[in-house]
Amino acid sequence: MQREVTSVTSRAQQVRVAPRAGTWLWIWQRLTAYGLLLFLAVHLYFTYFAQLGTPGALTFAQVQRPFNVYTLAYALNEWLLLFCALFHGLNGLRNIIFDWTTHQGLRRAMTVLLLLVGLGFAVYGGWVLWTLASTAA
Amino acid sequence: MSTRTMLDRYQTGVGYLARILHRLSGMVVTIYMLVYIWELGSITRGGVASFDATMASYNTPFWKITHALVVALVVLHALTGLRVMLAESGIGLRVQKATFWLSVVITLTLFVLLFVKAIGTITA
Repeated sequence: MQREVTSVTSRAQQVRVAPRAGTWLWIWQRLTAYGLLLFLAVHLYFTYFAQLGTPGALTFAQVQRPFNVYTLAYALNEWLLLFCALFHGLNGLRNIIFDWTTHQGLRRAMTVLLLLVGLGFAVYGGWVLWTLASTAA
Repeated sequence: MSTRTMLDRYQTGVGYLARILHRLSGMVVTIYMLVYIWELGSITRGGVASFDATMASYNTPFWKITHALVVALVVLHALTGLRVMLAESGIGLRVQKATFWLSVVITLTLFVLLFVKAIGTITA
């Protein structure tokens, strides 16, 4: 997609405004950031702040309580949190690696490694959440 | 201003410190998240007994304080990240130093409160 720019240059010119692959990652980094503000706040409330006054160790019953009360809504929150957190965290690490090295082979290798870590943890985390949600009363 | 002076000023500026802290907190929280998912996975590896045993192993002063620190780092990352996103929209550029220090003050206050609360619930 091309757009004519006249406002910031002395001569009108065409600039490319269609998103490239990197632009999509940038957009998703922002979208997941907004998602995390909500999903992580809900998660931290139930698993951390609500338990702060309770002495002793966190138990399975405590972790599962919100699943029992708000099964679908809480499970949805946790799955979206898993996706947003993994994408935002691992893409953030990729951004740091890309700032740190310009070596194409290393960049590609790290991208593949982070993608595999992300997919692996998404599947495993999804299974964990399924176990918690499916055993809800 | 020479290039060297500009670089020195850049590397000691508040914006630079904000960027470094945003990245460091992001890295720490990401690594913590991966370990966290794995530890929660004890429910799939050994059932409820294994899950409760894993959680009990985190019921120590060290881990309670670490959890308070991680929650504080999440808040620091979120506040400095919001500051970045607002700056990208051209909002708050004139008060970027103030918003950074405000983020630090909010984070430190939260950490102190969580630290005190965590210490209070530690059972011998």
